[in-house]
Amino acid sequence: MFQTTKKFLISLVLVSLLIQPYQIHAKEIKLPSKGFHKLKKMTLEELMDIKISSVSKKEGILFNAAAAVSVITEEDIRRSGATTIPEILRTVPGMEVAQIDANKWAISTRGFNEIFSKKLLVLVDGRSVYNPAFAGVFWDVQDTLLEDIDRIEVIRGPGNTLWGANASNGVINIITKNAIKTQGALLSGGGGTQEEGFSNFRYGDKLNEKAHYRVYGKVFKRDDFVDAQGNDTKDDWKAIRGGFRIDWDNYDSNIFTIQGDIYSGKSGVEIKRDDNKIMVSPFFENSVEDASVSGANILARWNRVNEDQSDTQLQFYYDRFKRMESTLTQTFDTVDLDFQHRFNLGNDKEIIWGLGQRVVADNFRNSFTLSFNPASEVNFNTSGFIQSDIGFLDNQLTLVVGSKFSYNSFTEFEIQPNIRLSWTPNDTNTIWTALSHVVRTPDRVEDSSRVNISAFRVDGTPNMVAFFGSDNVDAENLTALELGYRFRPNDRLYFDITGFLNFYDHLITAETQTAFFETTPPPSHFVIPQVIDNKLSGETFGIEFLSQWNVTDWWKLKGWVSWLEIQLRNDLGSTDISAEGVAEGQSPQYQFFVQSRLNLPYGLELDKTLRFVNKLKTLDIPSYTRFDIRIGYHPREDVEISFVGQNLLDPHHPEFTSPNTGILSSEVPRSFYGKLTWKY
Amino acid sequence: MTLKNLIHFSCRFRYKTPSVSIFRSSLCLFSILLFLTFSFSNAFGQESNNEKSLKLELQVAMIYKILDFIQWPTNSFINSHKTFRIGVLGASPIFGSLKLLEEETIKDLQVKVELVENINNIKNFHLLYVCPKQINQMPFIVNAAMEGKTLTLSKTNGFAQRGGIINFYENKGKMRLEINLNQAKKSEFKISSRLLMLSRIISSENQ
Repeated sequence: MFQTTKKFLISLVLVSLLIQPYQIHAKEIKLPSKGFHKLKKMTLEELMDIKISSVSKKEGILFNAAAAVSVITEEDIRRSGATTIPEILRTVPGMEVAQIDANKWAISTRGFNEIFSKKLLVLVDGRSVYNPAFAGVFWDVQDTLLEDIDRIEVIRGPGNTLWGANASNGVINIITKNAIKTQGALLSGGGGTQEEGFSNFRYGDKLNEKAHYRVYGKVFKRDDFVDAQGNDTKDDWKAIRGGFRIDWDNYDSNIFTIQGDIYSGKSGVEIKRDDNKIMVSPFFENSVEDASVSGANILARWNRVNEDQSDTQLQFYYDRFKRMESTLTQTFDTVDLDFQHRFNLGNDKEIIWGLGQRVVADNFRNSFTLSFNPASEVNFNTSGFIQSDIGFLDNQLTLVVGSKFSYNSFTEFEIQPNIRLSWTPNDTNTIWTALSHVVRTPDRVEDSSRVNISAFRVDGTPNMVAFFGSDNVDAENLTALELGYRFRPNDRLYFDITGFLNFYDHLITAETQTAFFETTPPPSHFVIPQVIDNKLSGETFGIEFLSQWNVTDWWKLKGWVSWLEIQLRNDLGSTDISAEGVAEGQSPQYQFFVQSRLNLPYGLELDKTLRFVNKLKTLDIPSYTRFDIRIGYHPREDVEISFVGQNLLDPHHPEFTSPNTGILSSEVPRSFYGKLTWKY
Repeated sequence: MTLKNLIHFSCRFRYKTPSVSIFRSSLCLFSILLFLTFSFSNAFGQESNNEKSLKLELQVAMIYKILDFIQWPTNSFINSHKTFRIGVLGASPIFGSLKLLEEETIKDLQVKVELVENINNIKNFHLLYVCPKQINQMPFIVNAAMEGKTLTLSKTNGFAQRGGIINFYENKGKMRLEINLNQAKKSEFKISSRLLMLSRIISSENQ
């Protein structure tokens, strides 16, 4: 029965994707001319983005870029039907986005996916949200009003020169709108099967002729996912969040921005270690709890445009994050100061350089399972970068050379150079290549923690396996070679193919050392230490292919496929036989994505997404195909009603697990929700 | 090969497992999309018939928005009789499009759009749109505009280099702006950095 349903749904997708254009053509829909009265309601940026000519075929800077860059626009976000930032990222070619439970994701690109993907840097308006303890991102607290996001820029591959360490496999840069673009009121709300209820508001206005502001608030409650049998798990979550942004333009070459957010939430988590092999009591406790998360941040930025066409930017932010769980309570206070200056040397050469200082003070309330020594520490990272863009042959050929120089508390001095070359001989073709050397610096867990993993009896004596951080651990190194080609045969078609070959060394391993005896906590037991080291190396290579086709002004298709191979090997003397398999089997070898966006008459929109993800052999996750649908309706220009169905092809499926953390994973169920948005 | 045959041909494999089946189904779909992409790629991309009128309306809408980012010198509107006067120098279809602004208010003033019959009258306008054929008169226009604190705009190659303040140009199929910031300052206009960031900054040829 289920197979029949699945076949029917797949057939429906195929037929609907393919037949629609012909049905619509028959009706000869004519889109209304934009006209001045419609244009005047748009912002200047939006007006400057309107295509006025079909002669030119370039897509702007993205077409020429010597990097694998994707931009998720405001419209992409609205039409995705996503309610969280991780779900939006599923549209990026090759991006690995897998849900562990209702409030945890594993997100990476080009391999090494795990609950804390250590090689992907995430920024919100230039503020790093990369957690320095676990070298990853707590996605359940990365949120804002999705309508306030201007765009999300995703760089697949090394982005270290401009963005800093830990951007070795990619950078996600979430950029919110200037306050002048969010004037007026916005109210939205809705609910459904997983989305039990959500409500958002925003209000923007002028402070005076030169300054604009907005404030927003957001609250949601999301239901549990399910286990393999379809029973509810204990991972429901809820959060409340608010924030503001002020942009002040003094009409004398300066713009000042100040913005901030504050949030609080409860994220359900179930820790379970009681399989037959592991001795639970008295060492480990199974638990079902709500992780209590809270935080706040404030950011100030000063931009200056000078008469000589140079510009400077000075940015400061403070971020506080607290997460309370039975295994660990962690608090971080981060202060960051960044300066950058861009200027031209002649017509064809641009220099950009900058300096940055980040200080992170952490504080942990240790538990038996997870402890840090010292429990409180201040770490810093001082960095500088310089990059030159040089144009040749009437700017058909662009050479980008640059390097990041940094000094950090864990591995001290690091240099991360890159060289990029792009050639755009005409409006139709761009070929580019890049060679980069980048590092991923260790986190607090790898440097100075103890993580008790499991316990078992041997001849009646308890034995415990524990990871130990090491202050001798080095940064992970990556030398990356990339080659890409973009082809735009006409104004409606776009192709982008990228190949990459990554050489890694000094990857993190956990090396078994001589066991020792420990009396606390009782009963006395042997500890089998697994000490963090750098004894894994290898290669990853793959291809990401993207195609976009604007079939008509009202029907757009986008599709991508990705292929990834990971070949790692332990260095001589390494005892960590699992590291190789873990890294190789946690990222899908193949992925496939296709999306159709259709504007129908009478203000209707019909959007469909089909996504295939290959199996994850280490985690025993089978392949899955996900189909989402969104129906939007605009009865008036200021009102939007949408209905979204997600994961329609199966009742539920697993996407990822995190066995080492003890977190009980759950399966993504089929879900539906409705949403009403009103803008004034 | 008809579309129906193509789908049948692409998908007539026998699969061992459901997951492989789904993956191959997805590949089939993608192949079909690619086929359609290449098949129909030449059918589109023709120039829009409304391109010219869109360009005019777009310029007018951008002018309307740009004015939010520009501050006129003090006392510019004292003797304006509550009217923001826009002049068009030369013959251009944009005159008709600019007339749409008469339904709006700019700087809280009613808008009036007029043809400028004589260069000596430029100083009576707050904003002057210069048509391309008038570019040879730029030295006179610039002097008159400076005297009257008149913001000059055009869509003419070399306009900003010859002392015009704001010029529209097309790049990569989109309407762009270039601004002669020094000239704006000479005329005591204050321009928002946000507008400058969206624009190309130009210097006068004689600087």
